[in-house]
Amino acid sequence: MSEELYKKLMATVVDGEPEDAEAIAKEALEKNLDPLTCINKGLMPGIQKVGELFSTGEYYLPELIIGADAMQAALEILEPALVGGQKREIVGMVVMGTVEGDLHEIGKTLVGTMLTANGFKVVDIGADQSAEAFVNAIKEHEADIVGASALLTTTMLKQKKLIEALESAGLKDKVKVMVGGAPVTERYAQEIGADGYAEDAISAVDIAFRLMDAPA
Amino acid sequence: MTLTKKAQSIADLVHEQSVEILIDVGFCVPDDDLLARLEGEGFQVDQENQMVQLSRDHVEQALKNLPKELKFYNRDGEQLTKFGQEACFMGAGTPVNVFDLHSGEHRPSTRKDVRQIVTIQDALSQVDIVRPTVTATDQGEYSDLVEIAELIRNTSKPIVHRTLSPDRVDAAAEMLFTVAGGEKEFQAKPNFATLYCPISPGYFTPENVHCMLKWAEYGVPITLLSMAMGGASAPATLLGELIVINTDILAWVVVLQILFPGTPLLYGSVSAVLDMKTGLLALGAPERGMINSGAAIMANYYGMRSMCGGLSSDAKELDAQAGFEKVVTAIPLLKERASIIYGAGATDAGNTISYQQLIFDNEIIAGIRRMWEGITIHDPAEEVELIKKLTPRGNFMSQDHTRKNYRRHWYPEIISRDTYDTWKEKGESLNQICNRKAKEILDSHQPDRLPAKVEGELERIVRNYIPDFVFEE
Repeated sequence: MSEELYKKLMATVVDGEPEDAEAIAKEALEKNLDPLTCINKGLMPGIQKVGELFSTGEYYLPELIIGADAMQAALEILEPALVGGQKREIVGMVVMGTVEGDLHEIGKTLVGTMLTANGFKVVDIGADQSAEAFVNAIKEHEADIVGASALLTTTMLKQKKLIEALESAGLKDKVKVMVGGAPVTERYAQEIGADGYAEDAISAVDIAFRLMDAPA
Repeated sequence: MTLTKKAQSIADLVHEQSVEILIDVGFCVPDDDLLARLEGEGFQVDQENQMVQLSRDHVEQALKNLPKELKFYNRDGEQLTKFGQEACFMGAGTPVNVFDLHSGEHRPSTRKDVRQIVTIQDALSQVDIVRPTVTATDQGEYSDLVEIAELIRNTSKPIVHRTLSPDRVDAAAEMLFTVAGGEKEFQAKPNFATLYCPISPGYFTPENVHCMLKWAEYGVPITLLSMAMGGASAPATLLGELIVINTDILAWVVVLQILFPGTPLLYGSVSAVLDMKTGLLALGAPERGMINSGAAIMANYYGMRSMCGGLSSDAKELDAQAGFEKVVTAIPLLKERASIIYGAGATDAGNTISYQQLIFDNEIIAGIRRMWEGITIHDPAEEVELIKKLTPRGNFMSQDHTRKNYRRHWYPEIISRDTYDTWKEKGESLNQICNRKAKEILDSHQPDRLPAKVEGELERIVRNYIPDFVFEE
């Protein structure tokens, strides 16, 4: 019975059905299944399968994103139900946002989804976020990595400002900084002292694993 | 401009859907003062959510207010006669990277690159309208003013650029009016148009809104330039994406024509679809030309001039991919009679400018322009007489008719039609030829200079922002 529900949960992720994922997660809790086991036996194998299909070229980004959304929908039901010291195993905690003055969100959200699909926990603070807002979120969530996105040639300068703010807050050694966005280059990332730069959402995952010192 | 039957059906459908969206949902105007002004004009305004909804009357009135024609001039006041008659080609812009002309290194672009690339565009026979093409990343916050100053100084062709912040519109306009001899003089014969991009769907940043309002007050032509990304900021079908493009542009055509009746506007789109394997924009894809040809259709439908992204490529070097993509993204724009095809010099999905690509784009443009002429119909009496005379087995080469007509065929400047042995002996690759030609232009081409007094005025205006600004030789 419970095995069947784990399989169903996995299928909602592989097939990308967020509404079903939410419904089945609720059903699992109603049937008193252990939420952590639901995550580990249902959602995780599901998202791993999605990742596999993506890397073999069968799935493209839309399937991957909807799969991650399904996982997220189920997690929102299951995580609050975790009891005692139970904790979902994550690769790392990531705070992501688009820098101040820049209202472009799509690229940043895509990177966030890719990281979520690969076992990271992502807190997305949204677009047009000041260095201070980043710093506060990093402190609040004890982030391992902060991702700062900029799409404009004018706002990429704010990535540098963010790194300066992290230095003043004494956080620069505690959190790894990833930068990205259309005008950003590897060279610029190095110049401003970022720890990682990725030119697209897929390589961002590799970089994040490298920064966590974890196997991809 | 009369549309083909298919274009007419697309335009009718897209216009109607856009109007429906603008009536039902509207668009965001992120400025309370402007919202109040629009409310005063009878727009339906939701102050809290900064949303504005239109009525059919607004749309109809705005389309009536559009100027009947838009002309583009060069710095000397001569009209760019092909503008509106056939496709004009324009430099790309404005990324922050360039392939170094000497080392080939991929590096941040500088003011010197702006100057050089503008000079090359000034010299190239097929580039009709010039952009700075790259960003002067070594000039800090006020790079936009430096780029405009270099544009004005280093080409007499019509130019297109924008300011990054509304407070700099005054300085940019002052430079333009100084060169034209006054504001009225500029408005009578504009040699500059600006451009601003919405964030699709339904949003413009406050900075861009304020810039547009200021330019409109000065009567300077504004391009509403959609940058929709099919599958991300717009639906994944081309028709759905075109509806987003048109809705975003129509919204601001209405705002600007109601607030500033008769203000000169261009309909622009540098949209594309996303490559869903990587999440990157596919600028060299056939869909790039296809979607922006939709913008050309809509512009023609509204009687506006269009600026359409094409002649694009995702290639990282001047290779077969670049050649294929450049052509495949330009043809649909020619087919739907875009007024401006926007992309010369760009490569690497528009993220990097290449001197060599710019030189080769000139060759591509010349070739596709020739191709686009097709077979011209005329009275072939002379030819028929000749054919009769020379049948059978005659030779046309020695005929006067041949001598008078063969030069209408296209003769490339770069592409090799040599035999293998000759090609081998010359020993220069296409990349090397383009590189050499770029250097030759920079060594030999001297753009027409403005009077020293006018140059001094331009320097003075920029110096209000960058205290040590001077033009260099």
